Amino acid sequence: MTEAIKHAVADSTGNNEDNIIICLPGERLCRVEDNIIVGDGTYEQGGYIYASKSGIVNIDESTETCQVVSVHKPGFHLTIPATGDIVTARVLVTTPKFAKCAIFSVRNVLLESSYRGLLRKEDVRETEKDRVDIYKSFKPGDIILARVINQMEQSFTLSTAEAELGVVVAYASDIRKNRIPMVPIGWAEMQCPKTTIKEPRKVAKVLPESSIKSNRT
Amino acid sequence: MLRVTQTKNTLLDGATIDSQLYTTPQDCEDFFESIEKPTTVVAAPRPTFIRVGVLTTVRGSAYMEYGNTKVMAIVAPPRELIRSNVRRVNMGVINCYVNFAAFASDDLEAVPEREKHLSSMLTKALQPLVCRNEFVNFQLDIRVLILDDDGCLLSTAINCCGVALIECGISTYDLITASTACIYRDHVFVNPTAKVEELLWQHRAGNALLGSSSKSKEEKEEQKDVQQHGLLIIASMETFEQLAQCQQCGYLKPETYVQLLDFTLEINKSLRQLIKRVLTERVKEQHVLDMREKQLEHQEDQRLAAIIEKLQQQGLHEFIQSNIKEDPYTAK
Amino acid sequence: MAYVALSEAEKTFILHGVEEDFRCDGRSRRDYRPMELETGLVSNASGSARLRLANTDILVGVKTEIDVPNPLTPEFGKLEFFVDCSANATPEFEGRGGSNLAQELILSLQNAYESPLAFDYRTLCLIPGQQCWKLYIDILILECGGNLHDAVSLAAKAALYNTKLPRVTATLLDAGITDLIISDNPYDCTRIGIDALPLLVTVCKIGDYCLVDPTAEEEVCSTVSMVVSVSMRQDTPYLSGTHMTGGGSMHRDTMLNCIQLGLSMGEQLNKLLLKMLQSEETRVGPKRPKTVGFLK
Repeated sequence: MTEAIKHAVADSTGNNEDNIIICLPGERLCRVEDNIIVGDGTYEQGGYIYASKSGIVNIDESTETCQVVSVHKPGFHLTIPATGDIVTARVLVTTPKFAKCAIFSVRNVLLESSYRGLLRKEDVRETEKDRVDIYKSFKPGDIILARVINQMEQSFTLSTAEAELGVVVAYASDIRKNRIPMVPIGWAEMQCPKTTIKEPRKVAKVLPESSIKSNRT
Repeated sequence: MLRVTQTKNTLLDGATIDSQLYTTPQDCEDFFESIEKPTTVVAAPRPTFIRVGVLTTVRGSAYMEYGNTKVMAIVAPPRELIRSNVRRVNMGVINCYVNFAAFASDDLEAVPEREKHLSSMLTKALQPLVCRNEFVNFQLDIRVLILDDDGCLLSTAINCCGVALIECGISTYDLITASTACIYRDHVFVNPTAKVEELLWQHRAGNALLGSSSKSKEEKEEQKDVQQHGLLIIASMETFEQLAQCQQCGYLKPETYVQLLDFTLEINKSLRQLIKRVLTERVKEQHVLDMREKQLEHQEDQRLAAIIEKLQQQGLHEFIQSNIKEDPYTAK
Repeated sequence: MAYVALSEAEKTFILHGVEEDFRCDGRSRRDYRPMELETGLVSNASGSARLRLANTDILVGVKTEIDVPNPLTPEFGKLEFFVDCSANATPEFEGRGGSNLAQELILSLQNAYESPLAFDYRTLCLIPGQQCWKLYIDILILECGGNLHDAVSLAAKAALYNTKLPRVTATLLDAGITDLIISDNPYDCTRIGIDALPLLVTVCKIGDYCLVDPTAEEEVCSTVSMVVSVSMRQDTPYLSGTHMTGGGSMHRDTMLNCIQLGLSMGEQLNKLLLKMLQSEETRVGPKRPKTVGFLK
């Protein structure tokens, strides 16, 4: 069975290699028209679309009304968190007003170096924002899922004001050896399976991958 | 009367100076006589070697040899602005740091000054290249290490950085190429070597001017024709026929300037072809790697899908049982 | 450059003004703003000048020192520039904020003055291979109103014109040691020839047009500018250093146009500056009228 797949894949790559269009920055790709959208790795200048990255030209015709022209760079792909992205971050410091985090992953891409994130008290949850207590929501060392809501001068502002966002991995604070991640037992509580200590957290409702996929598209 | 008595004179108070280190004006003169003076200008680049992605630890790196000049450029992914007062424009900030390797230059005293100068000129040359609107509130650090200096330092550094930027996946408007040309005693040198540049630099300090003729100043004036000398570095981006940077030093007539400009543009054109080839090769190489990875991933997915399918058919318990090897020590 | 916050509407207004060849202050694209020039007003320096170009205020002092010439250029004196962007010019210069700009100005000036044809270093020679003058040109930016390159180079040239080097005679003592005797008569001094000294002209590109002497607001609107250093020799202008600044790029022909404009402006500026300096000297003479207030 695997042999057959390998063969099929090899076949498809073989076909691809014949068809791929390689472009370099500054190369003119096509004319700007109403039904053509400027995608990633390209820019528009004087009525034409030019490439701004080296890579393979990709024309997405999935929608009938328009085509997206983009350039995909093989190998290393530079990722910077953008507004609206879901990021994974580690909580570094908590203060009464905000929690400082280090963003180390954007969507499903692991970053080369971490970026600074700032989660303000008002952005922890959707309702009753005024009664949020940062100390009862996060502890330094927690791994959280958050959404980027803004890019400030020195850091990104994050928000966990969604049911799916919040703490995903946390350890009980008084266990020093044999650290076991706590298990969520409610939307605001987690419990250590070994010591049965309960600790308050802003817990994320982690969904199975299949449902997230359907959400994204 | 105010008296200043000279106490220190390196030449007179018996200090010995290594004869090789101490070049006299006459040596420069001799050197100029000895070098090959091109009669016709061939606007072609030197033998060039470029390799992309030389370092595994950094994402955007490039190494370039331009004749004997060896330069390495490193581009790190953009990071948050450190100094908030640089913010002011809604564009990304580019910082270039040029460093000489300890063995790259003879004249150690001049190194910090040259590093500063090169960094500032390099930053200016790269600013129009990078799509800075994509990195608002970010700074891009570009580091250049000079391993060997045999002239055309700035232009080689610009070429190398251009390639490294693209390798790192930083959006750029175009490919950038740069080259150097100079004129000295009515001879045009393209891609001047370190020796010629040094000669020119000494001319700037006036040495050759004296050496060429011990004529008095008045005589020189009478000649009416001022001896031109100068160096021109042009960085260009061809798609829109833009010049990203032009730096000139020395003393030139505007006509000579145009003449040198056209030579450098010619070289830039051929360099561009070379860089294009290198980058296209790189994309192909990476693409093949990508496809292989994808293929492996696909296989893995297939394997998992098969397992899940089996699981659904058999039911959980049986599946687990089927996968657990029987303990050989249990009595049946 | 000093930063001025401008809205899009203001930028468009300036851009349209440039297109119409009628700028916000009524000038055409080839006009300079009014200048005030005064020389010899710092008593501790050998030469000094103060230049006010509309809002840009520059004070330059020239100090002299005796130094040993570089062995490669035994007949040449030395020149050193220093630019101080003081924090009162604009709050942005506070701390180390002005150091980048200062560095850029120093580099452009050094580049322009580097050629011995632009500045005759032989006039600074005392004893070839042994003693020479070293001039320190200290430039203080008091107020920043755009077009710093031009203002700084004009002020530096004026200060060099004003510089008086005391006459020096040398006597040879035993063992080859020379003794320098500096004249203590303040009027017994030599001057520096300034005919060929370069001037920097910034040609600024706004929209599709090039203009000279941009104000701070216009600098914000421009994408790229070209600094052209013009040196006049036998009534023909020479380029003694050019570079681009401002983060943009330009077409080859635009660049050549910029250089042409820069050269012609430099020629006029040079002529005017020389005329002004000479008329100031004949009018005021070596003795200054007593005035109260340094900057007036």
